Amino acid sequence: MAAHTLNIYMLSLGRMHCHIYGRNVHKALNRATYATALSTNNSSLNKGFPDRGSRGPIIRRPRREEGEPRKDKMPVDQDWTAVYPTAAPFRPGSVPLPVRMGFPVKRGVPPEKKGNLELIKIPNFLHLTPTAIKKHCEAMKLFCTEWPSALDTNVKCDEHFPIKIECKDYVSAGTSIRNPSARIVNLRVKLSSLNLDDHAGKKMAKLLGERYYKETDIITIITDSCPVRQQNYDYAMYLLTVLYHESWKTEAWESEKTVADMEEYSWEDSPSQKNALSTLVRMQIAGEVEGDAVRDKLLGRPEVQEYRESVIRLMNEGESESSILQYREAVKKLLKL
Amino acid sequence: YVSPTNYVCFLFANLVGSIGLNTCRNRGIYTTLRPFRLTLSACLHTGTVVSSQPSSTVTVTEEPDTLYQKVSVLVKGHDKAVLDSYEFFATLTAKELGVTLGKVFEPPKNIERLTLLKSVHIFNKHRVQYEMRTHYRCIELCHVTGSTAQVYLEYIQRNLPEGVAMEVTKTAMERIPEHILKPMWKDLPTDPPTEEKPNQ
Repeated sequence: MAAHTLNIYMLSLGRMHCHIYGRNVHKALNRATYATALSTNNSSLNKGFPDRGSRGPIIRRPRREEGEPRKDKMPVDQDWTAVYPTAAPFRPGSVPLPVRMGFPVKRGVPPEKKGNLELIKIPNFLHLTPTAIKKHCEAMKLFCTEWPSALDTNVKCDEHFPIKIECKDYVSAGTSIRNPSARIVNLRVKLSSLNLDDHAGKKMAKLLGERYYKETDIITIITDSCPVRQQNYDYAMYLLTVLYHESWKTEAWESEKTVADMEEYSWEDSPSQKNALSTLVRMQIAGEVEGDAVRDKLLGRPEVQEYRESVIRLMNEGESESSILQYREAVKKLLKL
Repeated sequence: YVSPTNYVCFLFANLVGSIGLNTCRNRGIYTTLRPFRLTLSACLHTGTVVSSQPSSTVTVTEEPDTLYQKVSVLVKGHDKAVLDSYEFFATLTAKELGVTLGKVFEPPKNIERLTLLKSVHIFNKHRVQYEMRTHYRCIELCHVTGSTAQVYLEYIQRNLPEGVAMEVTKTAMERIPEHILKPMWKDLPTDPPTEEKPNQ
């Protein structure tokens, strides 16, 4: 059969291209056509079967009889983990349940489980029955360790272990098991848990900028510049170390810090203090000598201190009912209204 | 740590016999960090004593165990029933292994819709619409040690069904490293702090 088709091709080739190859080829092809006329008679005896040459005929063994399906031989108290020890496709002969799945035909029911592709397609959990899970867990318990009982609340955990490192792992099916987002490391620390004094704390907050959230007092450092997670973690720890040590240093140019750079409002040397003192001085101007002693005495008075507190509260915390009321009371007492 | 090839050994460990190993050692906050990187030595070789404990298949190393304040497992799939079954499996496993469960909840599903032309050529007025539904399920575990987390996650991931993806977020807790406890400038009394120094 193969030889026959080959010769047909040769014939057509010969007719198209004999002018290129010349008379010799034409003669060869003519010889070939006579040869095939003889061979096709022999090959027609093996009708329907391909010519396998020296390999011999295909041996088809008769299909063996299928026995009774396993579900009919199952005792009620059997060990199901022996039927489905690992994840396996659904076998209708091994599952003794009358399951039906699929879209029903008109006025019918969903098709039965025998030969049902829908049941084979869907992932099944037949290998993960509660008994099987308990058996697996019994074997795995050896490798588990207990959580230290002294760290039962989050507060205690934060006290002893203030640094939180967050990493993500990804599992999915695909051509590659790698996920580039797995290298990102997120480091979170509370600023108050580090050993910093006042100046160092403020400098650290300024250095961190957006990475420091004042409301919750948490520093967040997210590193993803290195290709490996370990490298990103080392880089994050390095950044924390450098920030810490740099914030303890006082540079020469830090003395040029202006009022606009200050994080909190301070009443000393502010226009509010000057105005208040000048008002009080003018109130008592009859008969008293002006000088630094008068200013210090005025500053020492409790009404002035109250006024100072209320102004600081207004500027730092913003306007709210209670803070404005406090300011009102302080002003009334100061001006003796 | 437990290497992947030894998962099969779990079943063998059951058959080999009960292995008596004292795993609970809570002596205090600081000393519990000492032991516990458990490794599985080749238990397929019957008869050879691999470690000092008799007939044990578990070895304990001196490397300190990491402590995870929270381990969040988010599974994504197209079929809600599969995720329901998986959630039952994961929660039962956590209970059996003694892992404290936090929240187990279902974030809202996400549907991505496409409108494409029905025909290969022209017929712009006839379109066909497809949608891809992604259902989510989140299982949070609180206060897990490194060894337990590794065991639990490996078991969960090996039994992840086809067509389901997982994202694990681990929040590890650590102490402040020694080099951040005190500023290093205080140790050098000769150099005043206002001077500019090269970084160490």
